[in-house]
Amino acid sequence: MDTKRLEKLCNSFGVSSAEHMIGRTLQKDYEPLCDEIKCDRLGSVFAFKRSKNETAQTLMIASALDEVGLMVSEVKDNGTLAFIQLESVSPSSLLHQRVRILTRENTYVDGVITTGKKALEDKCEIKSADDLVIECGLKYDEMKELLHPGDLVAYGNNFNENNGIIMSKALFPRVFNEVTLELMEKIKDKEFDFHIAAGCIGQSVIGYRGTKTATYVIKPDAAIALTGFDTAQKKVHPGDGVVLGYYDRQMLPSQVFLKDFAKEVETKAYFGLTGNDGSFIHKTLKGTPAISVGIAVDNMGSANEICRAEDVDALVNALAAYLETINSKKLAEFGFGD
Amino acid sequence: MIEMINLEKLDKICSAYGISSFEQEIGNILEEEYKALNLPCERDGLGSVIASKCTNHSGPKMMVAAHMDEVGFMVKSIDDHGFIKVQTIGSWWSHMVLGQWYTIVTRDKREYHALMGSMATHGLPAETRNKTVSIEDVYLDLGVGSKQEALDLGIQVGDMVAPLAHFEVMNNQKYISCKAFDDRIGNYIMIEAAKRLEKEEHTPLYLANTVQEEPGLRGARTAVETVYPDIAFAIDTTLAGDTPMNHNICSLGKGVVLSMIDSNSIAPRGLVRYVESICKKNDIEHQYAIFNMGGTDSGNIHKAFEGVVNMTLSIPIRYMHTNHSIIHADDVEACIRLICELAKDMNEKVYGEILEY
Repeated sequence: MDTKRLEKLCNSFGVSSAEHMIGRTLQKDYEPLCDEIKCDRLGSVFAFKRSKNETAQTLMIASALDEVGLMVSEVKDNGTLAFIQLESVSPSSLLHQRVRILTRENTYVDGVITTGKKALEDKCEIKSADDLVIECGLKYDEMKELLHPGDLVAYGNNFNENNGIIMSKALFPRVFNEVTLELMEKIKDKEFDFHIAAGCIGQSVIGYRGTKTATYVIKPDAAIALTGFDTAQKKVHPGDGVVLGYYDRQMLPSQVFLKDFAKEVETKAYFGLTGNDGSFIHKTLKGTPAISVGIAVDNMGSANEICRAEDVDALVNALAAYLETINSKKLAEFGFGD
Repeated sequence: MIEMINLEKLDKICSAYGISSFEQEIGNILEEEYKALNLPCERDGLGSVIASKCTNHSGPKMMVAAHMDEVGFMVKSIDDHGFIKVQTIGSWWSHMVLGQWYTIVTRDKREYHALMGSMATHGLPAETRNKTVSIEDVYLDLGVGSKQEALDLGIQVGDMVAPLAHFEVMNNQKYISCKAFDDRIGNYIMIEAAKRLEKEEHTPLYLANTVQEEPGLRGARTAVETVYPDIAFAIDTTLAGDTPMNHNICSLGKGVVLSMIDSNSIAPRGLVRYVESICKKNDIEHQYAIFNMGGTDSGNIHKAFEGVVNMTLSIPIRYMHTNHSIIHADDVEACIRLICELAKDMNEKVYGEILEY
């Protein structure tokens, strides 16, 4: 796993609807690895590896591009920022986290989420995001030209790698963006009888909006959604290798595709609730057989997620090996015929 | 010159009865307005009225959308004494319907006024006084003696029930009250913009008066499918926070609202910057709303096809989804001016810059 590149990706700003900077970085990295870049209008970026087969099917391998974040709702005259959450992360997870705000001018202002209580004296119970504000160490007069309602907020950069254990904000989805890059690097000189579209979907985590538009552009015949699987309740643990989603609230995976993948790849089964891009890939247009695949991630959606480099390598290798076992005919069989 | 609101036209547009899926009459009214401007109109499969201008010009296709449907009810049942139970169409808080006048419109367009009944207020025990009635329990009082009298009026299950129209200019003439400003003010703004653009040549412009926004942004899907725009603006209303009971950053009279987020969409940064620059260049008063508790047509426009560059522009409104809302004339004027300037400024180069941001 390319730790340096992953660090760079994690330390980028990529909150839903402001993914353009990381989108451009990924596009530049994809360009030498594919025949064509495909984009939609919600920020999605895909590397398209074209097959010479004239009747090639298309396999989509998608990760999310956006990380969880907040939006400034008010610049208060006491010098704090009120905000709303873009995704439903538990608000108590936000208290005392470092954040980074993207201004209208594309500069950054750092802050800390606080609740106006003294950590050393008071009980800091957080019932909702309304109990929280962002404090930047600035006074109102210093802020009013700099920060505005609508400005987007990400967790502060905090990437750390030690002995193959990675801790950072935004490992979901950045580690999966990295997987798409490493996979495309691995298969760069290989040829397949099906097209491969590997990339990242804009405005996914916020509500699978780019998922619809990316699916419209790619028009896949089958899809693999790359996602993290949370380790709470010890369902899976970092080090468990490739995890395969058997159930979530938003998608029942294609049984034929699922069984084939499980046959070829050693995987750990996961039954959960949280959806992923598969949710809208599988039911957009006329329907696409889809599965969700990934690795264990601790504390998904928080400012400090954990995963292991060995799992990333296992996932990249497993996907590359799986691609060798399939072809257009098999992909067509995952579907139900035309 | 400061343009005044055409009160007669605004009254006509807002007072027309048209809940979701019953938009034929308001659709016809709007189509007449566009015909008077010599603009062709087409309909989508659900009845949205889409007027177009300069469609043979080169430039990105720009769609502006405002929904025609208002919130209301449907007649669900008529009991043995002629009282009517209703089904909500759109979201209502029961607190705001008791004691209000409503109009029932029958299939053959007869209108009857009815009062939303309420329990006697005398002798209410404290626990009852402190609660609101469940919306399932509200009923309409037709003021008739029997079920047969109700049936003889021609009232049937499924008939439309809408707030009784009462248009009033308030004590400062810029404040106007009526039902259905959500979103008839949007329909009004689009007609006024079309009028002001009459002599102008600009990018292809589609003015979509959509149906069925309230129950789920449905006409937005069909309208965007019909037009397939490159760039789109939804015009809707947003909660004002300038009253003793509601505080947010949005106020009546402070200008057209750039809605940064709603429950189904986020305004793209490049488009926000561009709209802000047009406001600043043309001295158009504007403000912001962060409101993720309600949706607008943008929810289904922005993610159609490969994605549409799209955001919502809003008019601040007090008492949304009640029988009497209040808006401010200056906000309406700012929005009309903004739509006109956006249509005039839009071209391939500008569009490219928005995409590249």
